[in-house]
Amino acid sequence: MNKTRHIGLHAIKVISHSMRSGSGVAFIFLTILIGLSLANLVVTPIELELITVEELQDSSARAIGIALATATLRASDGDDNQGTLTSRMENGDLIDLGMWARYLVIENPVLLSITVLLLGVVLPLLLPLGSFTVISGDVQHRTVRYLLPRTSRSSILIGRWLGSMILAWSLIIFLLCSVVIYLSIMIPSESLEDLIPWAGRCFLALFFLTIPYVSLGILCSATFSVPMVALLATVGSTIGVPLLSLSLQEAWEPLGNLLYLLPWGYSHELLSPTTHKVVEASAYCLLHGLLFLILALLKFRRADL
Amino acid sequence: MSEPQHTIQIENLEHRFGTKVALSNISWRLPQKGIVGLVGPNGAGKTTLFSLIAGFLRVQSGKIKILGSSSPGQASLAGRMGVMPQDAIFAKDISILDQLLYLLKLDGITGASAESRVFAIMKRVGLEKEIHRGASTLSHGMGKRLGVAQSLLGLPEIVLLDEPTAGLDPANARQIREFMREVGKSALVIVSSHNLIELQDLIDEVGVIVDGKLVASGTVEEVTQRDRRFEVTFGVPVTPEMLVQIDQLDAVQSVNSDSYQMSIDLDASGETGLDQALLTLQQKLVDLGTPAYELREGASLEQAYMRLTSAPKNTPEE
Repeated sequence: MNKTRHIGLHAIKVISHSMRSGSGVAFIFLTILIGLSLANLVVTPIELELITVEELQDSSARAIGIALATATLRASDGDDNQGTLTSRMENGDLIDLGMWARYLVIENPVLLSITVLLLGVVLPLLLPLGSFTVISGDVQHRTVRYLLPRTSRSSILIGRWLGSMILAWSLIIFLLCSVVIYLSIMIPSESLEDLIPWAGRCFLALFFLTIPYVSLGILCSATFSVPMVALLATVGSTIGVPLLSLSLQEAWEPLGNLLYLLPWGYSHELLSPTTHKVVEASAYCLLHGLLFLILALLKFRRADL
Repeated sequence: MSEPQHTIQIENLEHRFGTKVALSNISWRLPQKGIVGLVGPNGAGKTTLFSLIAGFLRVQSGKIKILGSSSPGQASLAGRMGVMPQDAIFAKDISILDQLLYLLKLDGITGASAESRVFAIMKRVGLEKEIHRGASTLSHGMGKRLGVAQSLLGLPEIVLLDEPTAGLDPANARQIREFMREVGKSALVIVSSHNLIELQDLIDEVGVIVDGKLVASGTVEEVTQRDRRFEVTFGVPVTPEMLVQIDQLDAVQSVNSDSYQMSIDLDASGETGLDQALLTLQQKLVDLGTPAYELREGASLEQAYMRLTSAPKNTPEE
């Protein structure tokens, strides 16, 4: 009972402190700014009538499929020619990617889908900003020493993890609400009736996507007592894992599986048309988050503070 | 007769930082209440011992039992120990009131009673005017007093204070000492300090750490029993003959003079102890026709400290 109360107190503390501390405000500001900028970037060509919604749907279906085939390491050496990849998506072994791309941009509101896909790429890089100081900041300044006689180490870590998660989810809700309202006003063809259910699905996808990346930030924050090192480690591994797997795959294909050290390899399935794939991807995100959280707990409980 | 209860029991404690041995084979039992001083040279291991008791560092070897718990940092100890770490700092961007209320919330105290306790304790350490300010606006001395205040917020059973009066002006240092005396009546207060004169008047027990080893522990009388320093003031200037005569006494270890004063280190380790040593000294002074106008006990803890901390160098074969 006391432990639950302490976890709640630490979570509230993280959220309220984020509104006042430099890094917390930077995280909130950057996430909102970049999120809204992405939405604006997607909408601008339509607003300026450079392209119609139908043309955007058609071109983006192909572009998304190709990007995903490359990102998930399913494009082979012979796919330098874009036509080969496109035909593989339409008829061959990449047909699932083709269907997935069409589901996103043709069967559902295209502008919201593209915005959320971009958010799915950018959020893993933004989320560390909200969690890198959560543990390391207090360890560096020894402020944690005022807490240790009063509460357990696991309460501190789990509470702060929960606070970071709630903050990230709140920002995602704010972003999605803003984008939905913006789209419904600026693009008359995107009606609220279509946008709201799809925004709910997108929120669930981003909700699960947030868990492993925030947990990774907490793990790095519990491992490194210098906040900047924790930030570099989180962002470095988030960017480094896909780059490394892409380059190592060329040397030896199984090394491409390094991509699965983080959710990069399966996170797109969170918006899959197939329910069981969504459930699987969500479960993987949870497991990934749980793994990072357990490692952070082990590290923090044994650390000299 | 029942055995005295110990709040903290340390057995064969060892701690290393890499290859450096910070603490070696420390065994110490601390009483239920009172004030215990922890003294030793810089780098002797005082802060490491504090950090192990407080649960900041993990115990590598040996045991520390606190209030019946088998190790520091256990959930059952939460809120029962108050710690003023030496180098911790409060968050700069949150008001002191909010930070202290948060700490009290963790202790399970909320609402009006929490606020009144914060105001009372801040008044006690002379910081009531700073309560709505951020910690960044506090001076070094104020920060120390805030550290003491937070350690005593939750009325803990054990209080660890790492150099609480270092850098304080005399008035504030005295205020903190009075506070410690008051707390020491109902709780165990462990205080580390380099100010031995200050400690001697304050503490009931003392532990001396040198090179990571606890070289002496017990009541102040026990630790300082071997040598006691007295300042003797005369009505006439001290002559060389007087010095020679006093120095020849068995009970006198050393003697120095300064105008009308003599500093005499007495050896109180004999069977009859300090009383006999003092009697012999006073008899000699009367025999010499130079009775003491004033006889005042000097810095015996400091003297014992100097002896204990320099012993390994002077007697390496021991």
